[in-house]
Parts: sequence; structure tokens; C-alpha cells
Amino acid sequence: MIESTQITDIAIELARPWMLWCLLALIPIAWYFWKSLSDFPAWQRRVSFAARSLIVGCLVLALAGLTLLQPTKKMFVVLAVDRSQSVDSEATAKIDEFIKQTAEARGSNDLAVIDFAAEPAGLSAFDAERTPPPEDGKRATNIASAIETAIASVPPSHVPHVVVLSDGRQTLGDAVQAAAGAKVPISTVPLPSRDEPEVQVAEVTAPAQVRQGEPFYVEVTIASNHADQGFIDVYRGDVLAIEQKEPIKIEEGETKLRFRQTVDDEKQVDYAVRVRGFTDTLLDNNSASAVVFASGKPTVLLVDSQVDQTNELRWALEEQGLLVQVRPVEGVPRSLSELQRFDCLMLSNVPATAMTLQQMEIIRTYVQDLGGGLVMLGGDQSFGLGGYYKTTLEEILPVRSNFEKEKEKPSLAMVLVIDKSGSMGGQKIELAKDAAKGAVELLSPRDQIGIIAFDGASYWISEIHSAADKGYVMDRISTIEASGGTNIYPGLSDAYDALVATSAKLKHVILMTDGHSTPGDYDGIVRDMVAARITLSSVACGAEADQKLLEELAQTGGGRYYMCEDPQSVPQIFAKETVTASKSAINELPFLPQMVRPTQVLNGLELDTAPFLLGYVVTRPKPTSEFILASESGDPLLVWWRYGLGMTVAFTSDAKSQWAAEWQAWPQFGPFWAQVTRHAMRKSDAKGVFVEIERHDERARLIVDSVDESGKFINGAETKVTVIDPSLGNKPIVMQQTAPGRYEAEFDTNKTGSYNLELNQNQNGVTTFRQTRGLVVGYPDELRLGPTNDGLLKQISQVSGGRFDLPAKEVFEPGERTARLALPLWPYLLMAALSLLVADVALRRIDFSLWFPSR
Amino acid sequence: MNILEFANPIGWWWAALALPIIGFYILKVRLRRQPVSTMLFWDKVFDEKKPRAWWQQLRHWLSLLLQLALLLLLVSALVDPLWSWQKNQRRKIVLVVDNSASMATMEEGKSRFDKAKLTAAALARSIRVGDEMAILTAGGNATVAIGLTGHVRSLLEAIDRIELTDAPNSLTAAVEMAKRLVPPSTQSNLMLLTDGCDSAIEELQKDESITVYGFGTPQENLAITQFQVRRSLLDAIGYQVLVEVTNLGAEPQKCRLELNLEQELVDVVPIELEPGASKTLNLDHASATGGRLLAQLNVSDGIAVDNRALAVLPTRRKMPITLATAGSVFLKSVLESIPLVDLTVVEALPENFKAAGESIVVLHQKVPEQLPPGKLLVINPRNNCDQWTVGDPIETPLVSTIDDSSPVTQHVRLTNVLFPDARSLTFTGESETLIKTPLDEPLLSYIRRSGGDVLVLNVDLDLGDLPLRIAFPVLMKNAVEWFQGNQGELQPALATGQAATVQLPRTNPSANPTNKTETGKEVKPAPEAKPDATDAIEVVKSDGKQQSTEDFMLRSPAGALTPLARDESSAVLSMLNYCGLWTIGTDDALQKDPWLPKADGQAADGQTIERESTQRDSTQRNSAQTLASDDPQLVRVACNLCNREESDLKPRVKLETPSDFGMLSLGGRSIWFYLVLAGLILVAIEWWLYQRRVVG
Repeated sequence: MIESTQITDIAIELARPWMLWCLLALIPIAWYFWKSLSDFPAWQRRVSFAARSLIVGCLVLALAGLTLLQPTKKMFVVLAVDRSQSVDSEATAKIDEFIKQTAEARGSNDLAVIDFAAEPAGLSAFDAERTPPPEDGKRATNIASAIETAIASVPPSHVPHVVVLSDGRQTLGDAVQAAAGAKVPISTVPLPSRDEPEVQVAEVTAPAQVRQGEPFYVEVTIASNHADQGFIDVYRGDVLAIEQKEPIKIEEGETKLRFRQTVDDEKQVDYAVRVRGFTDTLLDNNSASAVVFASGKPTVLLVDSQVDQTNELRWALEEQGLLVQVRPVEGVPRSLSELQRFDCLMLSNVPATAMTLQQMEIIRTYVQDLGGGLVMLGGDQSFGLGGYYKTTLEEILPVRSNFEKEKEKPSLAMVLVIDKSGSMGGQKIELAKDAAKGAVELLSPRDQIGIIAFDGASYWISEIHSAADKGYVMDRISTIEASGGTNIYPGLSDAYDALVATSAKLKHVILMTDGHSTPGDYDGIVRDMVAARITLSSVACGAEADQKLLEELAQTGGGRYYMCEDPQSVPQIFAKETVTASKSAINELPFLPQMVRPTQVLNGLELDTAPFLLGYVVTRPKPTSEFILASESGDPLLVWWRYGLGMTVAFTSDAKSQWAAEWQAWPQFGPFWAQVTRHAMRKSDAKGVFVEIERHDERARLIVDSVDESGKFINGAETKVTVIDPSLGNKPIVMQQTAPGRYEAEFDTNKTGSYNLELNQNQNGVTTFRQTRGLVVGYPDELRLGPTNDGLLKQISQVSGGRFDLPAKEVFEPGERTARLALPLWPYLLMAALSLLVADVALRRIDFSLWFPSR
Repeated sequence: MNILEFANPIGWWWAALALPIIGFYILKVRLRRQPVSTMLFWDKVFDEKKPRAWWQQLRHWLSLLLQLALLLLLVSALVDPLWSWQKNQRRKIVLVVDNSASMATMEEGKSRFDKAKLTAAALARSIRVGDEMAILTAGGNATVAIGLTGHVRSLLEAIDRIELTDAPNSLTAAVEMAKRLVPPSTQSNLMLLTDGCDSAIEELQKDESITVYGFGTPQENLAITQFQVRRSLLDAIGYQVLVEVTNLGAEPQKCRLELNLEQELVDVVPIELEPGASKTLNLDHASATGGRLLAQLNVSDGIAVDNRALAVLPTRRKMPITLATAGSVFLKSVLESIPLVDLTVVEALPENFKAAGESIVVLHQKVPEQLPPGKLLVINPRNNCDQWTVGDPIETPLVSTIDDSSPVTQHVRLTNVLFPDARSLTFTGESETLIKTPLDEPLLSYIRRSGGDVLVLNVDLDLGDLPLRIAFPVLMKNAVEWFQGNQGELQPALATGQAATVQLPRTNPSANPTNKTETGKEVKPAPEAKPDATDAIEVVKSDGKQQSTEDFMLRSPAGALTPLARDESSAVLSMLNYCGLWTIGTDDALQKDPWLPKADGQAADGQTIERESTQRDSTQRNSAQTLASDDPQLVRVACNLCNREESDLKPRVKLETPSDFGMLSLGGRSIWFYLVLAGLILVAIEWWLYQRRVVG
């Protein structure tokens, strides 16, 4: 860029001065002129020679690139206008007014505008219609790149001046460095910060790593642009940890708060702080989070459908040095970061229907990518009976929920009565069809199945048919299409009639609907069913369904009622119902565990002395699983396998008084469960490892310092991190050693939510540590409330020689600076040469002495 | 489709000048009437003169044609003809010049960078009237060398100003910036001049909107690709160096790696590497003072900048310890034997004693009723104080459990050792016991106080054999280091072009002492909860600490100062494009810096160390060591290339070499130029033809 120093004189320059050598052509021209025998008068010959020389001169100067340099004070002003989210309507009005006033004051100068937020848009005329940046692009402010683009857009033939209109709250780049290297005056115009009442959680800080049981403070910074009072909720995971009774008063500016916490039985705790009850405008910035990692004893989350029966197992594990947290089925973690707090998850008699598909997916990620452990214990709502058939969890478990039905088990005739009314259209009907197909798959060849679809009337999709011909039934199911009204009664009536006619020992009806039916004698038909030993279960699909009626039908019909908010869980309900109805998945004969495959995991345990277990759920081991213990009939009792980085264990009996009443009194009950659980759980050891995570510009840098037991740095170890982003995307990264004992990796954190990190270090084939960490990315910095950053704007103008808070009318104020306006003269030189050529010809062809006789 | 188009078609009107020229030729030249005395002479001449041949009749027509040709040439030049492939008038060209470290490679007597600049200059000279060109650089940070202009001289001046950096290239960022400046279109032209030593070049080459020109052939290169120094966790004065050397050439390499700490040779390691192989060294050495540590490869290869690397070894400060004892020889000797301890022994603490800064106070037996603030190690407390009550002697003071997870008890083997005359201690607040008896009586405990931690060892050293055991000095050393908070200090050397956040130096060094660990980064102690605190939300009163509002400057290895953007306590470094030592401080602090670059422009970094005479006054050197490396008002950041990709001097793809045809107009110039040149030649020829009859 031409530096705008003071230039006062007109100057000329030659772009290709070496072309002046061509002037040597004048020497032969002069020689021939001198020696010429031309008979024109001498003066005419001399004029002709002069004309020819001038032509040569013009052409040579054109070739040499003669350029006229004029000093100019003509300015080119670029207004770099902040359009990020922190700029509100008041600031926009100020921008518009500024542009208007600048345009009025521009005179003959040039004015252009560059809008910017995360990225600068192209240069546009000040009066052009400009499209605002997309909402996503407004969530950051990069003043530096706007300055660079503005400077690059100014032609050197003008005096450059960049005016930045911004609130100075940059979230990307370094504007001062950009301004310092610009060599162009950059003036700044501060825009007002948002003046709508705004309260935000500016920051939540907690120590990255604490010891279990050690008290620490979580510090909260609330920023507000007005004095106010309201409530501050602190969530520990999903649980409201601190509830205020009185509103807290906050001052304008920042208010710092803190609260004391300890982590006792978890590995990782995330704290979310939310503000409510304040006068506020932006909602996105009302919460912020922090994650605390606690080192200490391994932690286990035990989820049980009967919490009151978990004491024995909990005590046994705690006695063996494990920290156990017990939750009811509703407590199955809903986020990966919540599950990350534990080294092992034990699901004791938890049905699949109590979980969403997302929760199951989270458990899979926890096991597969984060090395977590999963132990599933048996019960009447576990494995196949819990509806796990074809679920994500069945995929990661070492056993299958479907099995060959034993011959002595009674045969089942089942009719699925499915609502196909118009409201079932779309995803619902497809899921219902999948659910029906899943149910068919679970039936044994001796069972029978019939499918009825109903709207205003009832239709047999597939009359009662042997389940041996599954293909036919499934093809028929595929033909169901949603349309019509809702009338349950005819469907039930048809199901009753058909089932009464079958010879099966067990008869069951599953009714599913999402609406209110026209009235009918439901009580009568269900009582008839009961009389004919037909059971009925009902599924209300969505809140619109007639829940009261369905619940009553299931109650009277001797079956189960399911309220299904999410149609995605319909297949699990059908699978659960099918297995439950066939009464074949549970074996309740007392048995002694049989060792199938000796393992070091059970070393020290005398399984020969183990008492009877009173029952188990029938499953099938998967081909590559490790089948450790079996029932006396050879069915799996204890099976495990490695799944991804983690381990899953299936124990098909239970640890409660239902089937393990005698086991609980066995002295080795505690060691057995501790050894199995320790084998399954994530092996994490925080000793000698310090993990730090820094975030900047939507990138996170993970720094791991690792030392061995003796305090020496661990060098040359293979260190990896698997980053699970908030959408459960998985990215393994090899960490690079950057210093003695230090390993680093960088990854993008451009999504809002929890990032979970699984760290793994191996040296000489030995795992030196394995750990999980979390990182919560809150709302973008753009939404961070704060006053206009006058300091930054002043610094930008100061380092570049511009002015801070420049009034619009003074933008074009002429200063001392000038620029050089370069005018290439070759076209004019050619025109001159052409004119001279005509004159030259005339001087050759016309004897001017006729008019000007020589004296 | 027209092969030619014209930038200034209105110029064709000048072709009308052909009419007067033809007119002049049609007109008969009217000779003058000159009265003479006789016609006889002329009659004779006329009779002897042969009639002109037909072609001789055409001579003046040939002359006319030459004049018309000249006119045509000049008018054709005036209309500025463009080939169809050049037809985009007023083109906007963005030239990206790679000025990264690998461009320093010398080939055929010229560096790749010089070749790129020559090509850039040739391209700039070849732009047409109406064209505009901008030039960006792609070394380290992508920057604008000059905005869009059609003024060739400005472009040439800008090209001349571009300097080679020591940073890796940023081709992708520069291309993005170029596309922002001139969005790709039929009238835009984005050209990249690079050596292609970047894996991103493959993608860039595929981009049809970019023309990539390459310079460079594969070259041998040995590079230091990793270099850091870090204080040891085990040894108070020890440090460990991580060096990785990589052979990025095609031939095996053999050389020496030399390590110098403040010009003192520390180590020499022979290096022998096969092509593509790396060697990682972890070298342990000891120095309490710290300073600039320079690694240098004794080799001559593709580029020199990656043959040396610099790091700053943090200084370990002496820990002042005040021992208040009636005369325990054991304790005094053990504390004296710990490295970097500055021991003062007093009989009793004076009243209202206040420990200075980071010092430790060791109280033996007698303790004040109100423990003084600061870090306290209490051995064999005999009387009550605000933190505990002393009870009866413990019946069986046998060590039963040691919490070996604590750094205080690390490597301490005391199981089944008796702690004679240990008294039962009841702590008033929360405490943690590290060594206890079978009945859980505390023998070694620590109390976390807001005024400073207290470690209590409950043993009479004069009884029993504890002082004679190895475990005792280990325990004391652990305790001192625990108080010191040594974390394996590291002032990471950055790679050029790398962005990093650094904590700003303290402008008032006496205030708020904290542990400085890396890049001047202060370790903020974790918010420690008071035992009596509640779990309810409480409003924290401001501690009244004011952040410094002073302006900080960043000094480059060459001594150039630039202002530093900052927030309250940190700043982001994003423009470190040169290897060497960068320093952050206030103007005042930088002026007083003993490592201030010299007036002759030599940088006060590792490179200077190499260049400086080894006969430098050792006294002066020592004073620099102690002053500079320990100055809390300055933050020093060593910067090295340490970039495997940049040190790999092999172009990743086959790159097109720029040729005249690749210039922005034919032969490097606009067509008008050649037309004018032809016109000039014709002017001379036509003159010769006209005037050829000359006097002999």
C-alpha cells in the first residue's frame, strides 16, 4: 500500500525506464536527415525531421511507461460496520444515522461500507441495499478481519481512512495487532451496548480437579446492565442442587456469588447455573456451566426398579471400596456428561421402555467410546422381558434377548390391534409397523399371530396365522396405511372372536391407539376376553389418546398399560409385551451356577460354595462373548465381552431377594459383585495426571501432564483422546508430546453443549492412565453482556493514528495526508504520435515553399 | 467468437487519419516556378531520362502503404487489443506470495522467495491498463501487502517490502482472505506463488479459481521439530529437555546437537538419522538459575532457521525458611540439606511475627496461641493454639496408615515405626490426616487455612529413631516442596505462527505472589472452601484489587515494539512470525531488561548467543542470568519454527513453473506495447526508405 505521506508536487515516472534506449533510433534518423538528397527546402526538411523525432520520442515514452503522478487529497473512506448479535436496534439506528451523515459530508470523496460479524462481507456502496449476515454468522465479532479487508479494498490512489463502527466486543481475531500493522489510520466509533434490560450468567468457575470429599467453591459471575433481583438456580447434573427462598439482589455490572460443594460418590459433576425472575431480554445467555472432575474411589451408578431392595448390593460394593449411587428407573442419565460421572452403570431390572432411544444411545457411546462399564442384571423386566429386543442396548450386551422357545412352554396366540386412523400417519404408523414386525420375530414357530388394523371400522391385515410363516405376516404388516377415524370396539371384537377360536394355551391382545374412540361396550368385550382367558394390554400412543379408557381396559383385561409419549419406544413395548405374554423368558427353578469358562476375574472366589439362585431370564450368548457362568440347563448366567473401549456384562439372575435371597447371605456375595463390577468398569486413575482444557476462538486445547509414580515425566507415550461432541459425534485424536511429560491436542468446539473426552495413554504396551473429562460449551461469547469496549476501540485508533469516537461530519476532514493519483500517459502519447504522423506526411507531400518562399 | 476484443474501441476513430494521409499522396506535389536562362539542359535531361517502369510508379504508393501501416499499428495499439482469453476487462488480480520459512531454501544461487518476488514483480509489470492487483502474503499470518491498485510502481514497491518470515505458511487462510477481497468470477484472477511445501497445496491446486505457480525442488533438510525445557518434579534444581530431530531429506544425515544454557555448553549429542526418521531425546540436567537454552544442529542443509531452537528455563527461587526451635540439631541439618533453602534459625518467633511472602515457618514444639498467618510446618506441638488442643500421649503411637497419594508422604516408608511421645491432637476445624495410628490418631495432618496451610508432624524428634531414618529427610523435602508448590514449571517455547494466550506480567511484583508456571502463567489456587462455609449461595464482596491499566508492549527478537491488545490479565499472541525471544512488558520494564536487544539490531535471543563472542565478560553474563530470567515484570516467550511440514522442503505436488505465457498479458506485456514497438521500428524503416538517397 502506498503510504500516505505528504506529496505536494506533480511528478512523472517511467515504469520501464530501460525502454529509453530506443531513443537511440534517433541517431540513424538524424544521420539520414543530414545526408539526405531530398529537394525540399531546408527548413521544411528540418521541420519534417523534428516531427519524425517527436513521433519517435512519443512512442519511446509510451513504451517506457510514462505516468503522471498527481498529488491528491481525495479520500476513500471505508466504514466497517459491526452487524453482530451484540449490536441492537439502538446501535443500528446510530449506524444508519452515521452512514447518512457521512454520505452527506463526503463531497467528491469516495465512501464504501463493509458489514462484518464473524466474517466481513464484500465492499459495497454506502447507499446499496445490503443483506444482513445470516444469524449463525452474527454469533461472533471479528474486527481484525474487517480491518484487513477494508484496508485491502482501498485503492492507493486515494487517501485511505477506515472507520470501525462497533461495540468493541470482539470474539475472534486480534484487532489491535491488525490495526498496528495496517499503516492506515483507523478511526473508531463506539456503538452503545444493548440497553434492553439484560441479565446473564457471565461465568461459572470451579476447580478442574478436586479430590472426592474435598470441599470447594463454585464461583458464579452474574452480569447485568441494571440493578435487579431474582433467583439463581444451581443444578448439579439435572438435579436442582440449591434452591433459593429469597430473591438475590444484584447490582449493575458484575455480581460475584459462590457456593460450597463437595463431590462424594461421583467422578465428574457438572454445575449449571441459571437465572430466572430477572428483567431480561436475551434468554440464550441465562445459563452457564462448569465441570468438576473428582479423583478418588471408583463410582458406580446402580439403577433399579425397586430401590428399596438394593441395600444388600450397595453395601456389598461399598464394603469393597466402590462408591455406589442408587437411583430409580427415572434416574437413568439423560446426558452423556451425567453418565460420565460414573465408572460403571448397573441396570437392575430396568425395562427398555423406561428409557428413550437417546438414553440408550448415550449408554452405547459411554461404553463404546468412553470406556464405561455396563452391567445388566436380570429380573422380570430385564433383557427380553424388558423389551430390549433389537434395541441399542441389546446390541452392546453380550447376550441376545430372543431365544428358542422350549417345547414344553405353552403356545401363544396373539392379536395386535393397531390404530391406523389418519392421525397415525407418518412416522407413527411406520413405527407401529416396525413394532408389529418385531413382535412377530420374537414368536416361536408354535405361536400364532393375527394383525387387526382399525380406523372407523376393523380390518384383518393378517388373520390368525402360524408364526412359523413370519415372512407372510410381515409382508401383510407392510401394507398398513393410515387413514380414517378411530373406533376401537370392532377391532377388539374381531380379536376376541378370532382368539376364542384358537387352541393356544395363552391368548393375548395388544391394543394400540393414539386417539379417542367412538363409544362402545368396551367393558363388556374385555370381560368376555377375561372369561375366555384372553389378556389385553393397551398402549396409548401420545397424549391425545384416551388414556383413561386404555388404562381401564388393560386393568380389566389383566394386562399392562403403557403411556407412550415418544412413538420411538413403541417397538420396545411390543417386544416386551410379546416376551412377557409368552411366559417363556423366565426360568424360576432353583439352580447352582456352573462355571463354563474359568477366569482370573473370579479368582479367590469359591463358586462351589455358592448357594442356589432362584431364577433367571433366558437369553442366548453372542458368538464372541465370554461365557463365564451358566445355569444348570446351560443358559447364560454371567457373560461379558468388550464393546469398543468399554465392557458390558450380563448377569441374568438378580442380586435382590427375589432370586438371590440365598446369595445375599453368601460371604462372597460382596467380593463376587465387586470383582465383576471392577472388571466391567472403566479403569481410571487420576494419579500423576493433570488435565487442563483451554478454549479460544471456538477451538479447545487439551493439555495433559503425566508423571509416573516416582514423579518422573512420562515421555514418548502413545496418548490419545476421543472427543464426543454434543451431538454424540466421535473423533479420535492422537495427542502430540510438546514438552517433557506434556501432551497436547486441539479440537473444534463450535457446538453448544457438553463435550466428553476419553483420554488414554499407553507406554510400552501398558496403559499408564485412562481418564474421562468433560467440557461444557455455553452460549457464544457474542451473547456475553458487557459495556462497550472503549478500551479496545481506543487502542485500535491509537496504534493506527486514527481517532476514537470520530463524529460523522469529520470523517472526510482533510488532513495533511495525500496520495498519488497515477495517470498512465501512453494513450495520449500515441494520440500525439498519430497527429504528428499526419503532419509528417504532409511535410513530405506538400512543398510549403510555394506559400512560404525562402528568403 | 471474436479472437480479439478491444479495451478502448473508441480509439478506432483515429483511423480516420488515413484519409488526410491518402489525400496527401493523391495530391500532386506542385513544384515551384523558377525562371532559367535556357531550357536546353533540361530538354537533354528529359530526352535521356528513361520512362519509369510500372513498379517505379508504385514507389510513392509503397510509401503510402508504409505510412498507413504505421497509422494502423498505432491506432491498433491505442484501442488496446485483448485476446479472447484476455477479454475480461478491468481484471482484479490477487497475488498470494508465500513468504514462509521454507521459501528461504537456496536453489541455483537464488532463494525460492527471491524467485517468487521476481515472478510477482514480472506479473505486476504485465498488468494492463484498467487491471487492478492486490498482493497478500502467506507466511505465518495472512496479511495484505497492498490493496487493489493498477499502479505498477506501487505494486513493485509493495513486493519489494515483503520480507521472509520464519513461520509456516498460511496458504489456505491467505486464499480465503483473497476470495473475500475479490470473490471468484470471470474477471478475477487468484494467483499463488509458493514452493508447495504444505499438504494443503493439493486441495488448492484443484480449485479452478486459483493458478498455482511453484518454485523449488526437493532439498535435504535436518530440523529440530520439537524443543522444550521443563523443571523437574523430583529435583529442585533439575530440568529435563525434550528435543526431537527429524531428517526430512532423502539422504541419511549425521551431525551433532549442541545444547547451551546461557552460552555454557551443557550437552553434545551425536545424531544419525535415516531419511524420514526422527530421534526424540529426553535429557536431564541441573541448574538453579535457569536462562536461555539454545539447541543447535551442526549441519548445513536446506534452511538454517530450523537448525536451532530456543527455550527459556525458569529460575528456581530460594525458599526462605524460618526455624523457631530451642535447638533441634536434626531439624536444622535436615532443612539445610534441602536444595534451594535459605534457612534462618531463631529461638522463638517474635511477637506479631508475620511471614514474608512465600516463606515457610517451622515451629518446633512451642507454638503461639494464635498461629501466625503463612505456611507453617509444626513439629511436635506441645501447647494448645487456635487450631488444635493437645491431649494426653497416645498409647501406641505406631504408624499404621500412610496416605501415599499425597505428595507430602510420597516415598515415605514408615509403616510400623513408632512416633514416640506423640500427643493426641484434637483439631478445631477441618483437617486431613496423612499418617495415623491404628486407632486413627493423627501423626501427620494438614490444615487448610485461608491465611496459609499448616502441616503438623506429631513426633518428638529427640526420642526414637525417626530422624535417623531415610524417611525423615524425604518427608521434610516433600513438605518444603509441597509448600513451594513446584509443578514442573514450564515456559513453553511456541512455534512460529502459533496463537497463544499469555498471562500478563505483574507490574507490582510484591503484590499477590502466585506460582508462575508457564509462559508467565500464574496458577490460581483452586477456590478453596472454608470448612465453616455453607452450601447456600453467598455474594462475594469485591476484594478491591485493581487490575493494572498499564499498556503492555510486545518486543520482537529484533527489538521492534508493538502494542499488545489485552484483557484484564492476559493477552493473545497471534503474530509471532520470527524465531527468537519475544518479550512482553511495560515500556519501562522493557527498557530496563538486561536482555534488551543491542543497538546494532542484534536480537537478545539464542541466535545472538551464537553470534556473540564467546569471550564475553562472564561477570556480565552472570548478572544477566540472575536478573533477567527471574524478572516478574517481564514475560518471555521463546519462538521456534518446530514445524515438520514447513521443514520438509519437498513440494507436495508437481507445480507449474511460471512462464512468459503465464503472465497476465502476452510475453509479459500488453499487446499495445508490441504494436507500439513495431510502430517505432516502422517509423525508422520508413524514414530510411524515404531518405535512402544520400550524399555518398
